[in-house]
Amino acid sequence: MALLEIEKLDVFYGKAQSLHGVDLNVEAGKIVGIIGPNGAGKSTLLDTVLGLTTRKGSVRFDGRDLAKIAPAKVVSLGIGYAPERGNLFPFMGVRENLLVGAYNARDKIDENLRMVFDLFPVLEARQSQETHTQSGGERQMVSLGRALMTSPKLLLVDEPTIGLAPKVCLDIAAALKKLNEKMGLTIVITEQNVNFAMSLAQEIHLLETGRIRLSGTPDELMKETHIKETYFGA
Amino acid sequence: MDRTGLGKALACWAVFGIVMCLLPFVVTTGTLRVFIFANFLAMFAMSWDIISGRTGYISFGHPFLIGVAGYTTAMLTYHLDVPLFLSIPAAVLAAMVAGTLFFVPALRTRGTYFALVTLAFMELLYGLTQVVQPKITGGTRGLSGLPSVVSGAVPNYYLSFLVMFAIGIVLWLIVRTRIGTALSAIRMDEDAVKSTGLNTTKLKLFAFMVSAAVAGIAGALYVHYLGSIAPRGIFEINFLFTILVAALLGGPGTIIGPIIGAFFLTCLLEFLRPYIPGTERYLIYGLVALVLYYYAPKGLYGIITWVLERVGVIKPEGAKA
Repeated sequence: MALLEIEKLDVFYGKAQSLHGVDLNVEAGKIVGIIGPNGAGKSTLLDTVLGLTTRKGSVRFDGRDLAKIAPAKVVSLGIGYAPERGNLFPFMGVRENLLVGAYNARDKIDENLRMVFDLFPVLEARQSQETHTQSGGERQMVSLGRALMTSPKLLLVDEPTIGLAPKVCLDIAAALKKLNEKMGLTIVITEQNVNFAMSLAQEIHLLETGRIRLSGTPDELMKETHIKETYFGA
Repeated sequence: MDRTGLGKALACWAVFGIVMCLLPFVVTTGTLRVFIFANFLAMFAMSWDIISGRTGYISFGHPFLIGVAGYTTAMLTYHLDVPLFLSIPAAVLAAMVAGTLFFVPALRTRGTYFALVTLAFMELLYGLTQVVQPKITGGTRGLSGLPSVVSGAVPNYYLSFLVMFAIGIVLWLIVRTRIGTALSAIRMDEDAVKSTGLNTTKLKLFAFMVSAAVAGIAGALYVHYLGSIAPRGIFEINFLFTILVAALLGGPGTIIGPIIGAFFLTCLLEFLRPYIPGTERYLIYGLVALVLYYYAPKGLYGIITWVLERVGVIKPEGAKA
């Protein structure tokens, strides 16, 4: 049984349909990449798993139907979410931002803080720095750290490399790989940066105009003409 | 805040408390009455600060909560001779019920829409108190001859100050807990708070209940201090703006700021009274508020902490490590 099972998912913003019959299974212990252009529905898909949108269809996590479960409860079941551009609390320090994420795992605050600081040592040195004064890369690290403070079994990461320098992207990739390989964390990552997603994920799904167009391993997708032409200009 | 910082802050509270307790020995009765109003304004402003300064849900209808409490205790004591030790808690409870009415629109609206809905609540009660059952509410003239909790300027000063001081410390401690941090986070990005697994509905309900309870305590004591209640006194737009300006001028979201703002504003208005006896002095205080808010958006609290940081009394918060 997959850790996350999404079946026939339709999502609406008013009358506009954003996702059309999306089916997706995420096996435990894997990194799954969702790639696609702007407006494809990638962020909507992650928001929907968390229960932040109006939907039809089924989303099951760890065998449990997430319909009618509030976002706060979904997080407490073991889904951590690092939204696009971080959505940090700008006038709070790094530590305070991380601690806001710790409400559902209060018994593991010290342990999780240590894990986040080991993963991103720069944050430990800047614990009191307000996040609006930080660089984009540091903010992304705080966002990931805040999601990790919830002690998740599944980590949803929305476009972590957006607007970041290549070196910082590598640091983020290394951290995500470490979380997956050493701690067995299951990760779903959405990306427009196809190279980044291909280098990281074991399974890739191409989402376009709210529909899953292609699925497979990075190697399989690299052979697809549509991917080559649209995302690599070949 | 570390232990040293907390110790310094508590020491500041203690000094403030001692100075204010000694005040009746050095000032006239007239000045003391000014400070009684400052104490009440500080309570109203702190109550507003918990909802609006902390969670970012700007309330334009705060006098609604104050009015519900004020009218509840006034009607109970005036018509039914209910003793104050029962009517005041009943008024606080009524204000908390009213607080849940405030909370319902907060589930669906925020920003300008929430502000307008709360303003509508205030206007509604303004109208209702005048036209529905005027025999009970006293109509446009309100109710007068209400019993006082204590009599004389000095006992009233101590009562208002001690209640304000206790409320201030309790609220200040609350905002230092993780609940206070979460409430601030709601102001900055409510969706992000939801995505971290926090139940923002429960957090907002908590803030609204605390705010309503404080408004209820202050409102009930205020009408018994005045000995009367009238719709124009409570629901007039000037009263609302005075509360808002006190909180914004002092430093929103800080609890201490609204206390500073309330004292500054009351003293400023009284200082101007001999020179500008009419309502024109509100123009001056409006100008002062405008200049202060433009150049120091964190209010007087921000200016004071900036000075204390510069002279090394406190450590700067949020500085780059």
